Amino acid sequence: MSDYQHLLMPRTARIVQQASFLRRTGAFLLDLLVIDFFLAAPFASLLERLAGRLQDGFTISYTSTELVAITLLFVVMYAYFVLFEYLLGQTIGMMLMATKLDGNDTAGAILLRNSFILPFFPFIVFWIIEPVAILFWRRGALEYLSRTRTTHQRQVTM
Amino acid sequence: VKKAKEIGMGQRIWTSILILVALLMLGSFFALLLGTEDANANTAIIKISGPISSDEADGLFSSGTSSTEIIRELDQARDDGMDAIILEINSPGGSAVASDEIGQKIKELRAENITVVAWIREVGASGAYWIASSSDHIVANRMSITGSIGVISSYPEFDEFLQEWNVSYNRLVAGDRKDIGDPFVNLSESNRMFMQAKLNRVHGFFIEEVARNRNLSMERATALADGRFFLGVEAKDVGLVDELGGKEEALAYVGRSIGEDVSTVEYEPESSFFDDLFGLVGKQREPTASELLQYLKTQQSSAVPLLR
Repeated sequence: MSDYQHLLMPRTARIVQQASFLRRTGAFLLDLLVIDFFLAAPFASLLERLAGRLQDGFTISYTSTELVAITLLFVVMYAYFVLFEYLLGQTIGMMLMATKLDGNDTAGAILLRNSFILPFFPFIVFWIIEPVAILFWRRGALEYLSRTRTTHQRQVTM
Repeated sequence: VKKAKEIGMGQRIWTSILILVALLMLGSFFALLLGTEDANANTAIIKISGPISSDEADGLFSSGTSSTEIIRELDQARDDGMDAIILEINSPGGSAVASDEIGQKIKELRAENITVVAWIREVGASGAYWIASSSDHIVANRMSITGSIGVISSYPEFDEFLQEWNVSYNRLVAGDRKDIGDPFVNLSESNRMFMQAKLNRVHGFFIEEVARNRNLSMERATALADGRFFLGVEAKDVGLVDELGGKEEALAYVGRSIGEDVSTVEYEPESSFFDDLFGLVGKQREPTASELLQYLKTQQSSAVPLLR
């Protein structure tokens, strides 16, 4: 191939950008599916029992033991996100939606950016803040604090 | 730590499988630890503490107990297949209607062969005693306060105060007895007698209930129902409680009654997403003066007959 011919070939470039709200929501839902199918299996009877008591969509009653079980289920969920992001830089949902963690990849940063999973105050406030921040700025508040980003890489042909 | 791009596909898959297996084992361990205890539980412990009302306790002053909540927990215990229920009582009583509602629900559960034990701690008086008397067995601490079988209706009266300060109170009433309980109107002798008759009637229901529940004659129950309170040890002597003791004695009775080892699970008031979200903030806040006044107004100054 001569130098002239090379100039005529289409060129590709990789663009790394912050993942969109839809892509991130898709990844999160896929992760929830994985958690539901595999990790929540030991808690299936508990979840069925609680679902039976669900009264109006928000109000639910539980015993103290059940409360501890629910908390531990969230701890397992938290561990899922932290371990995958720490060891692989992305969760299963992120792999399937082609997004990955970018920036500060220390354990502390990953623990912080996923702390919205924890079901108690003040972390529970981020259940509202994070989706809104990601929708408008493509970056969650906890991502700002942990100096991390969730990126999507795509190839463009020029 | 290797970045995602530095890890090959094979290693990525194996790492993912390893993480999932590790987390599955962790979850199974947790579930086994808790699930076993929950699955084996045959006795529910339900707390009745503070003033008893029929409404759901609201936010800031949620230290009381509502009959709606207790009945929900009793139903839940039945639906969860509990063989026995221990009522942990620490209440001075409250609404006659709420006490009756809980008492009737307890009887309903007893008819379904669920053993109900009342465990009176500091106080199990008046309406709380009504509830306790509906159970199969009453255990009380020897120094606890119980009994107080009577009815009270009280409220402050400000009409002379208003006159003294030359304040007029516009009162438009259709029906002579419509404003009974109005703190700005002097209670006439006729209305006082009318009100007293209602209290006597509620008192009669209370005495009948205690007599029936405790297998006492009406005369005996009436003699004990002058509103006095008894220490636990005195209540045992007159037949208002069955046993002196605490949780151990209550559990021992349940064990004898259901004929198997007792494993307990504690039932708690229902919680919602918003309770969890803002509960911690709310609990740390001190009540404001106006909230305190509102609370006192609703809790202390009521013409409604109360058992306490």
